[in-house]
Amino acid sequence: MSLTIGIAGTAKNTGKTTTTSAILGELYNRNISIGLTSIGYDGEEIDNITGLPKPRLYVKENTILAIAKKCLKGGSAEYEVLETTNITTPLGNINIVRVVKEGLAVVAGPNKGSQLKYVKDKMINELGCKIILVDGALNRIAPMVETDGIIIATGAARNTNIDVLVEETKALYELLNLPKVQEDKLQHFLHLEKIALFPKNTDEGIKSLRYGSLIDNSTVNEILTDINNVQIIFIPYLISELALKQLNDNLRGLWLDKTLIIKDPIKLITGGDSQNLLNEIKRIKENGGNVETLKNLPLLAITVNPFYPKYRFDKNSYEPGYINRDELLEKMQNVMHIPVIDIKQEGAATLVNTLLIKLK
Amino acid sequence: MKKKVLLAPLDPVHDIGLKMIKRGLEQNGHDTLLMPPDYSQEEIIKAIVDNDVDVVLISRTLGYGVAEILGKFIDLAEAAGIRDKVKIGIGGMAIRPELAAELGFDAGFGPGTTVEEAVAFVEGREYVPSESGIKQNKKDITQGYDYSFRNKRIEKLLDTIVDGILDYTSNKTSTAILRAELRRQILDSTDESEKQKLRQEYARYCDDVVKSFYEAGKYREKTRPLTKDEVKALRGYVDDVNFRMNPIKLQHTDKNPAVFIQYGTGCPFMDIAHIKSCEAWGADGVVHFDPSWGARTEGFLEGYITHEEDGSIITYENLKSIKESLAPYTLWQVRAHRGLNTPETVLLAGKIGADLTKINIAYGSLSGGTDPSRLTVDAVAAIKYAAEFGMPFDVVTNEELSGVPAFKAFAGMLIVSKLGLRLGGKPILQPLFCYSPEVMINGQMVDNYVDFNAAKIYCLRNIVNAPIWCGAPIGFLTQTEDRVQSSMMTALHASLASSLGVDAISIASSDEAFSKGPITAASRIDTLRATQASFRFFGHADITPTENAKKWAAEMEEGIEKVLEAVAKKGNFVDALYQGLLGSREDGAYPGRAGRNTVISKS
Repeated sequence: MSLTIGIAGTAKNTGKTTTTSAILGELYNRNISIGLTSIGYDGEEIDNITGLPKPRLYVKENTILAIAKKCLKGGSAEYEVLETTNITTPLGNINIVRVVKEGLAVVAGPNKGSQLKYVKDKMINELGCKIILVDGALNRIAPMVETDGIIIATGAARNTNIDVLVEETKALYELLNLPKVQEDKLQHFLHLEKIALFPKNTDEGIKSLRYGSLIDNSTVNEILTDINNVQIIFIPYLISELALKQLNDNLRGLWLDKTLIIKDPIKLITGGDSQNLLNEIKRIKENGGNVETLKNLPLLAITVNPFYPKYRFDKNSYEPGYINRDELLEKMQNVMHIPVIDIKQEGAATLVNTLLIKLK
Repeated sequence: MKKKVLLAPLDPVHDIGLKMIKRGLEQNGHDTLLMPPDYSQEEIIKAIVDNDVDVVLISRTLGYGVAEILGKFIDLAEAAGIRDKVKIGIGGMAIRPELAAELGFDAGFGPGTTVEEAVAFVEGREYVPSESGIKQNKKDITQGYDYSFRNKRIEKLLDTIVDGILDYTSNKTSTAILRAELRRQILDSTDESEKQKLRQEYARYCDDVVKSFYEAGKYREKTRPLTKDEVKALRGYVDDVNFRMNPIKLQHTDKNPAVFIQYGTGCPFMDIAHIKSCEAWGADGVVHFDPSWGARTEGFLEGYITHEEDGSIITYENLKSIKESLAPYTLWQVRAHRGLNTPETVLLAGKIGADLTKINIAYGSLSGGTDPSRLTVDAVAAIKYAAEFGMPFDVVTNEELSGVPAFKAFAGMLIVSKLGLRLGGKPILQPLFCYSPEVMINGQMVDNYVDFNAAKIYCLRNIVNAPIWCGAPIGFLTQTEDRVQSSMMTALHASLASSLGVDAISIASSDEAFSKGPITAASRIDTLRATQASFRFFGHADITPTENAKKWAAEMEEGIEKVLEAVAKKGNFVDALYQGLLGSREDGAYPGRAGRNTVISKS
């Protein structure tokens, strides 16, 4: 049994690497074999954009890493290269390595979902990793679809208004936990690459549209053409907030007894603002429709960070800023039904307990 | 294979870079589609799908919150299912490979990216930079010079003076010369007990402070040996930096001179860090500065030694460690132009593989503090080593900074150069290229810094066909505490030198005279970048001096001839030095006292 955990952030400096680092430390304490990679670049001493100091990852012997060639000599850790893959990145090909001397690591890994899957499978099936940590990058989340669940790091760097932050995170949680399509019906959708309209009358054929994504007006119109006969709208790829709103504006009551099926919540979340998207989902439901997903991406926990890089116009530079930590934590905990942790203050023990329960 | 490429400025306005790349791609037979600026991310995604493209190139100037926008674009591409089919590159100011990786792109193209680089990415092949953009070979500064004299009168006078020097030194030696020979035997011996004996003998010819090192293992104050861990860490640092380094080239045309920087912080770590920084920012060569007390102390220490003050201690190990840290194309000069260890310095430099050294009797004995007689005897031995190891040496004229007029300094330089030629060496003329006391008093630079510097080059060219390396450093005394002003002055002097067709220049950092401590790496980069920009600006265009330059060149040549006549008439070069013919006390030159009365008669 193994578990692949993504650590995604809602913005830069929300505490992804701090979270990854704390989990890593806690897993080392419990002697669990670990695989580690990143869909971005971690390990720089100074932030690439704000110029503020950054946390770095400390890796111990026998940890398996998937990192780009240029990272091999980037930190103080030393590695044995187990495989040089064909996966290319701006920092060279991805290498799967074993740590032979502990130290600080610079971790830039595969940046696409398909590549992450290759690395993950290798770590689990051939190298015996029990827990694989995938460090996120910026606000990017798409490749995380290959994980078994994600931890979201959010905080003042995303928004300094605590109420907005809480509402937004709650919306994200709800989008990630959309109901799943029944297991026996999955086979109808898995092979589809284009938007498909399933008719009410099962004798009629499935109508396949030109695009796989719902991102523009013309596709909305194509869906609307014969909407009365449609029972299921399946969208395998991206759904933009704007296009979904247009679809809703046109369908309204016509949603009755119709189901929108998406491939996974990532296809929705990447398309726009979480709260607006959730509002659209609610509109569908209010009009008698359903929304389901083929795959879930459980949100396992939330880490919050009161820190943010405060921009000083007078100095044209950034300096550390903070919002009220207790208020942030309390308000977030009140609405979420998963662990909400200030990782810097509390450490990762509770978080790792949650993960280990999942693993068992 | 022909590719279909979509170029999209994810930016309200900027798409110049994309237009250039578009042209390059079309010239290489690829289909391109350039989207207008200011399209939404979703519109770009749709265009990618509609046009079934193979590669997407996005351009965007980085600013507040832009990283998130770019990260989102990659997320959209992945969620839209096109990420595995389409390669996506990002270009723009402040884009570096690390940032491209963070943003999730397949490649990042920052400032200085060539069209060819983007084409290579599109074609899926490794980018091999064109030869013009990277450094490959060391420049031979002396190449193409036959040292023929155009001014035959001066040549004749120089020959007479050189005859006198060789005659004067023929039956003389010094402890420095004896030490150099012992050092050679120590280095060549493989027998440790023999080496120990030779060291004991070597110590006999040294000052007490060096003797106590060999006899009792004591280090001079403010020096200490590096620990094994420090030496190991230093090697690790060099390996790490070499791995990451991608040096730029300063020269824009073949006409631009080689650019040298000077190091000598006393700390091997700091020296090497400065050298690597300068290599990365395009320096062609580096010059080793030793401590001033080293020049006044008889004998060298051994081992890896660090020094708390300015000047990097010369030992075999220290020099070797510098040599091993250098990029293969970096020229390396070890100075031996002044002091009491001149022959051994040249021997060590030669043994370790330095490319160049520096020898000048006139400067070393009139402004460098060493006794004229001693330095004359030592310099002959040193030049012989330089010739043996095939190391060209520059003949520096920094006595100008003491106040010696250029024509007198040049007379000394030409004497030592002719001596070098006679002994089989390859001298390089090193006129000052700066605001010297002479011009401050006489006003030749009231209007501009061009004419008098140009006059020096015209004058030397009228006399002899020899390589010229302007020093040291160029622009000296024209710099201020303002780093921009200092960099500008260095860059303009560099372009003047280039316009005059010289072979090399030494440049200062922008804080060289005002750092109030060790100079900073950033200030070195200031002047290197400024020099590069200035070379780019002028290209093959020349700077035209006024008529004064030729007039002053002629006066200078006349002055040199008169000085040489006086020296020749005196019949003894060493006496001429003592008596101020090549720079007098009134000029600000004082015959040095270090090593006085230490010349040993062979008979």
